[in-house]
This record gives sequence, C-alpha cells and structure tokens, in this order.
Amino acid sequence: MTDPRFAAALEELRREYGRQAAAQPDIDAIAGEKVDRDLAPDYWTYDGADLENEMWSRMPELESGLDILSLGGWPGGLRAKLRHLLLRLAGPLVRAALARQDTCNRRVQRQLFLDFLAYKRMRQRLQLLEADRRELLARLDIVEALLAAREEDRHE
Amino acid sequence: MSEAPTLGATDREALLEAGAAELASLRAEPDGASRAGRLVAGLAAHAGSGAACNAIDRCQLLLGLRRPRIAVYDHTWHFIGGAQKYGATLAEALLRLGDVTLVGNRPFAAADLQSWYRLDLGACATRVVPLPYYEERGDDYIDPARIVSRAMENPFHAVSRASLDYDLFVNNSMLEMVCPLASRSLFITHFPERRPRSYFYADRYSRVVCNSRYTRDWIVKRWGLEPHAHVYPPVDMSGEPAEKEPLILSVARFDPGGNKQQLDMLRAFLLLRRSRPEACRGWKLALAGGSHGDNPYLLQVQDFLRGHPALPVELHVNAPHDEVAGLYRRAALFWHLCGLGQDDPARVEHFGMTVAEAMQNGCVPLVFAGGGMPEIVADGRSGFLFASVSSLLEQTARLLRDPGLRASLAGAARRESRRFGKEAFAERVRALVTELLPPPSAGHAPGR
Repeated sequence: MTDPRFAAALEELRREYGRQAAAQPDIDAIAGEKVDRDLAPDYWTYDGADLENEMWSRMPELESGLDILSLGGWPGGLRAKLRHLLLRLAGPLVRAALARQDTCNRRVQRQLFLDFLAYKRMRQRLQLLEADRRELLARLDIVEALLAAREEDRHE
Repeated sequence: MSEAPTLGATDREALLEAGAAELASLRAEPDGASRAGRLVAGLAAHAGSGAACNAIDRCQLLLGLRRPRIAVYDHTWHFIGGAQKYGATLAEALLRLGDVTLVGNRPFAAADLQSWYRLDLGACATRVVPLPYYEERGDDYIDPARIVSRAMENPFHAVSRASLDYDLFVNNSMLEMVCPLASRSLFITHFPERRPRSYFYADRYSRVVCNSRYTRDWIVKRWGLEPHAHVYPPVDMSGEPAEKEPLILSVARFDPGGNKQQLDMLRAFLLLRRSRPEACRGWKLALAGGSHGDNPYLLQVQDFLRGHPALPVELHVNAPHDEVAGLYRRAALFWHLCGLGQDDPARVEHFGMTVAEAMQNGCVPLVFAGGGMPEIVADGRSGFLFASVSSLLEQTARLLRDPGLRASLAGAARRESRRFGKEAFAERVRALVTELLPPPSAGHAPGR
C-alpha cells in the first residue's frame, strides 16, 4: 500500500523537476548527455555542412536566378524536381567542393558529381523546352500580326 | 569526429527502471518522502532533470497511482493521408491502455480525424506545440528538409521538450530530428526519407516500427538500424459482397507531382481499348482520389480526358467515403501503377493501403511489382503483379476475357486481405506498447 504522503511527495517532486527541465537552455542538459552526434562524418569532414549552409543562405538568389523556373506551365513535378536539385547543388558551389579532392570522401564526391550531371541534364532539357516555347511564341506573334493585317485589309 | 559516448536507448531505460524501482520500494517507509527526494536529486545530478522526471513517472505507474500518459505526435494531423490514418488508428487502439493526447504543430480537431478515418477519438486530448521557426516564415507546409546543419537550431526541439510530459511518446511524423525525452518511445517509420545527418535521433527511441518489409529494408540500408517491429497499416474497407460491374478502379490521391501516375493509367487504358477492342467492350475506368488547391497534375488529367471524350472514364475527385466504398464494391478490377518506371525508392508505394482496401472488397488487384506491393498481392493467386505497361495490359485482357479467373482471384484477395484489418493492427500495437509500460498493479485501472 502506498503511503498517500509518499504519493503526494512524488507528485511535488515531479512538478519541481519538470520546472527544472523546462528551464534548461538545451536538450543536452535535460537528457544529461550530449544527444547530438555526427552520424555522417564523411559529409561533415568534407565541409558538406558549410556547402549546404551557403546554399541555404543563397536560396532566394538561386531561385530568382533561374528565370525560366518562374515561367510556369512546366510538366507536373518537373519544376519541383528542378528546384530541389538547385537547392541541393548550386552548380558553382558544387564545382568548388569537387575541387577539394584531398578531403573529399569518394562516395560523397561521386554522389555529388552524379547529382551535378543530373542537374546539368535537367538544365539542358529545360533550355530546350524554353527554346521551343520562345519559337512558338514567335510564331504566335507572326500569326497575330498576319491576322491583324488581314483585319485591317478587310476594313480598308 | 568522435564525441563523448552516449547511453543507448536500452542502457538509459535500464538506469531509469532501476531508479524507479528503488523509488517505489520507499512507498511505505516512514521517511520515504525525504529519501525519495535525495534519490531523485542524485539521479538528476547524474543523468539530468529529464531522467529524474522519467524515474518519477515510471514509479507512479509501477505503484498504480495513475494511468499512463501517451502522446501520439504528427506534424500533419490537419491533412488527410494514409500515414495520418495510421497514427490516428494507433491512438484509438492505445486509449485502452492510457490517456492519449494527439500532439501536433498546427491547430487541428480530433473530430476531423474521427470523421475522416471513421474512428472513435472522443476520449483523446489534443495539444498544439507551435514551431516558431516555421510560423515566422509563414510556410504552409512544415518542411523538415530545411534542417540541414548543426549550425542551425533544431526547431523541433520544442516537440522534444513536450515529449517529457508523457510516459510514452509515439512519433508518427517520420521526423527523426525529434529527440524523445519520455521514458519510453516509439518511432513509426513510413519510409526513411532522409539520410542520417545532424539531429538524428531515431536510434534513441525504445522501439522503431516499420510499416512494411520494403520500408524495413530501406531503414537498414539508409540508417543502419534494424527495426524492432513490423506493423502493417490498418485497412478496414470490407463491404458486403456485391454484384461486380465491368469497372476498373484506381483509388489514389492526385499527387501534384504525379507520383500516383493516373496519367499513365489513362494512357494504358487507351492502349488497352485500341489493342483489344472486343475484350474491352462495356468496360470503364474510374479514377478516385483526393486533391487540394491548385493541383497542376489534376489539371493535366482533366486535359487528357477533354482530349479523349470517347474514353469511358469516371473521375471522382475528393469523393466522400461512402462513394468510394460504393466504387470498391462495384469494381471488378483494381489498378495501381505507383512506382512504375521510378528510380527513387521514396516514390515507390511503401505499402499501398488502397490496394488492400480493394482486395477487401473483392476487386482483383493488378499492381506494380515493387515497393510494398508484393507483400500484399500474391502474384497469380490473389491478383497480378506487373513490371511494365505491356504486362499490365496482357494480364488485364486475360481477366476481362475470363470471368472464372476473376471470381477465383477475387475470393482469394478478399480472404488474404483480412490480415490487414483494423483489429489485427490494434492488437499488434497494444502488444507492442504493453511491453513498454509497466504491468498495472493493484489500484490502477488501465482499461476503460
């Protein structure tokens, strides 16, 4: 049988340590140990963190930099995929990272390189699509101009 | 790169268990209260204030002083989806074992979850833990991929802190950056979407649960963790057997990125009719699925149908539950193409709840032979698996011509899909959680 005073004391202790935990500045202090570890040492050794930080800080620039992204009308998923690739890669940054041959882990390097190739292929495909679009628009301009001329002829 | 060793989930739990048992042994001592105070202070000094809270919580459960407090966390409760249904059904199952709180990051109503998933969650409390980082940005979607480095503070630590208030914390969000501080915890993995980086805590959970063998294999491959348990999602769409109509059904949300491949289904159906006009006479295709907002993929589907007005296709967007149930009852065949031609494992169906729903209604499934599909459909026994569109067309045509084969596969599909029922799910979940909570002692009434 539990002594009611003991049960009340437990309840009071729980409140007190709950308050203490809430006042702790970080999770490590609450857990009583360092909870975060580097589970991808290759990634960090190779400065992947810096690379990604820089990319995130330049995100608006990247997004606005590629004008064709904002043109709209791309097939479903293509825009999102390209945006994702852009965020992950940011060409010049990847090239800079690839240059760090001495510290770069081979697996990570290879993956980044493959990603970069995929990005380039996607970019080329988009450029081709964009060229088609511009050509169609140009033809439309011609058709509209012809129609306008015909309309004018009719009035005359 | 190496840092101070940390306690594994098992070591930490053993320490807390010993502390809790020691505390409980003082319950009838005349100076029990003061000795408990000293014991808890020592524990806090040694293992942190969180450990002190955990030990007291555990002791209260051991002594039967209160019911277990259980939190089920999902940052997307306000969306309808299969993973959310999994979490909500799990919460309903756990109501028998303790007081359940649904924890989210955006306002949501348990009543909505009840009506979307046909559950009884009236006894669940709700709690919203705001994430200022996302609120300040005004993001519509809480995108966990934004957390990329240790240089950035982890916005989900607010949830980690909240987890300390519970005896069992269930993370149904697939957010491995939430650190469990409750004395026991479950991490439900619908798919390991991200590789382990900073703020990776999946291995700090008491149990990692996967929803299919396909997901399990990717957890091992991506995270180097072996899940403790495998619990298939709950599927409860069984309807009364009805007269089947010449209808091929697909039920899948209209994913804005086209992940569920309804356009490919339309093209396949067109090809089927052109290549086998006799067999297809009288057959229709019905596409049912949810969609919200301005969905570019749905627009493409609608454009396709406008371009082919003679194609007998029914579109059921955001159809209510009863309408979808009716479609399942009427449809003879079920198509699911998700995963066909994909090279990203996350874009392949991890389980396929609608496939199991179709089978429960005697629809013969023809599904892509990848992801979790082979775990649901036994090829040639309860349906067909295909790896290409030509194979899909061939198998479909075979079924269209052979009503006897349809009936035999439909019967097997119905029988074999029972193992995905809600009751089987609830029992599995309760068995898993019962292992984690102390056995109820006298004076403690766990049931309702």
